[in-house]
Amino acid sequence: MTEMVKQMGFVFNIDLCIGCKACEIACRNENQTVSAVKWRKVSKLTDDTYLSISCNHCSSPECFRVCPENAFTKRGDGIVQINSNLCTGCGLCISACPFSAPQYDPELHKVSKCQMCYPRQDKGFLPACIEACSTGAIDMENLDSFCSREAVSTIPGFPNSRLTDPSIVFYPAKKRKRYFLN
Amino acid sequence: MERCLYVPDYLHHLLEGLEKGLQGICDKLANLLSFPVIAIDPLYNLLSSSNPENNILVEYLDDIKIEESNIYKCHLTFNNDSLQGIGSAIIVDGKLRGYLIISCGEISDDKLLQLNSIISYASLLCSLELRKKFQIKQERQHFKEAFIYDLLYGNIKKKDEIISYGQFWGWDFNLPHTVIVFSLRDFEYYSEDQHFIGILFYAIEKSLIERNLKPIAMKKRGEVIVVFPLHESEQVKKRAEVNTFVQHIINQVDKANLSSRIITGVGRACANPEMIFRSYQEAKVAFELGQLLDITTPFFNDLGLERILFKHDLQDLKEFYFHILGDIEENDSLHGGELMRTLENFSANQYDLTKTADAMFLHRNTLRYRIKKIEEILDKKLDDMNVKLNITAALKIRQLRKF
Repeated sequence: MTEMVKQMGFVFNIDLCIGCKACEIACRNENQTVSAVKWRKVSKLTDDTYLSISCNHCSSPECFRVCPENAFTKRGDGIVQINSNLCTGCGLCISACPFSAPQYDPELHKVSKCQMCYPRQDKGFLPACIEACSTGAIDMENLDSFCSREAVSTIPGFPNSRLTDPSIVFYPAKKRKRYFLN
Repeated sequence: MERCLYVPDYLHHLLEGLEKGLQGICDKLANLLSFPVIAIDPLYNLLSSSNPENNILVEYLDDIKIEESNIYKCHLTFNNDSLQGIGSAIIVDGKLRGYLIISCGEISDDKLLQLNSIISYASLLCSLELRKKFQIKQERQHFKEAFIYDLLYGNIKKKDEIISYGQFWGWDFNLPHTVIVFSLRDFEYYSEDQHFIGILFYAIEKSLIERNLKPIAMKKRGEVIVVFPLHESEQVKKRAEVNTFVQHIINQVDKANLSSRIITGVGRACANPEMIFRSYQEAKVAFELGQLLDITTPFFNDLGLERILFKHDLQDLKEFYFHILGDIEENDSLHGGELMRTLENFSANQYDLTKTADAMFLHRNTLRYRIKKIEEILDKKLDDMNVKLNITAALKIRQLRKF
């Protein structure tokens, strides 16, 4: 049975992300996913800002609700897992998720998704994406106790999150200053 | 100078009372002051009384403390007679956890200031007693919460396992259960709202115990989740059972000025305890949509088209809305008319002229004129079923505040 209830989530700083896709590559390398399966995706928000998202381990996951096989579970630390033995690859979770986090694996005919590298976390390591990010744009916090005045729950370009309550917070892009040398 | 280390006898008496908990403190204080003493929670429910057979109720508590003291004035009722009383707040860890009330009738300010010290001391003892109780309860709740969490997120896949774990806490998972989510409108995590969620949780637990139910409830950030057992077999009665419970909670928290902020959501009833997680997710969907649609107690079962529209692509919904009702909106903004409001009411009253005219306090002919005008603008007949369907869907999109 679950021992301690908390909600781990990603903290993403828009200003620090340079769109290098190191997180995306580290994720694929760590989890050995096939080319069609992208648990973490980096997309361009504006000309000079990027967004890197994966499964947000929502507080009210829609994938969870619609799965006819009850293949999803949520660990005590808030990580939403999918049991591939139970998954039939029906794809209902893919269409239900506003973030397109569950990915269909055409080779296994099953759905898989980011599991926040819980095997690494259980050994005391950070998830691969966080460790690979050279600018520190992605981080991880217990959102039940996380408090920051500057952090916001959503940003323009992020899908509507009201229904699922995703476990991610953002540091939005700040207005940049220009300095001149005399 | 020699320090005086003498401890008055009455403090000894009160401390002796602490051995018997709140009851002991009330008894000893009542003996000392020769007035009935009661302890109540923040929602004015009786915790303990020096005369349990005399049912004294607290009606109203003045918000303002009496100057230079920690005492509040209050109005009490006893056998339908109105009485005056004084009370002191019981504070645990900076949070209000109840009041200690003395039914002393009218009292002079001098006498009141004399009593201030002893009442404050007694309420401090009550705080110690309540703190002890909370600590024991929190320890028990810790184990319960771990199980309820697993139940709400489908982490226990075997029905027998859930039933046997449930028996440990006296919960019968052979009965059908439904999940009810309670929260506060505009909840702010880092504010006083956390304390209010505590009060809500307390009111829910108390109400369940009053119904002879062992509470299956937990707090989770800004919400209180209740797994509610349904004893009735008929659908209508089940619904009434849930409605009565929710209404009772709203009435209970009214004393803490929370009733206008309470929002709820109710999932579907599930006979299989493995499926309780689904009921929880449904309750959360109902909870979100209920806020947008202004439904006091939204049941997931009642939500139809809204469920699909809420999740649909925003751009597509916008296009659909303006395609169906864009002309009416434009006409209203140009001429300041009320055609959109009329159409909303017409749709809400099942496109029935008489019902709509009554609801809008309009003459039937005025309404008929407006409907004709709407038909002209839309270039469609409102008695066509497909037109009605499109308009209803467009109005629901508007209601869901999609733009």
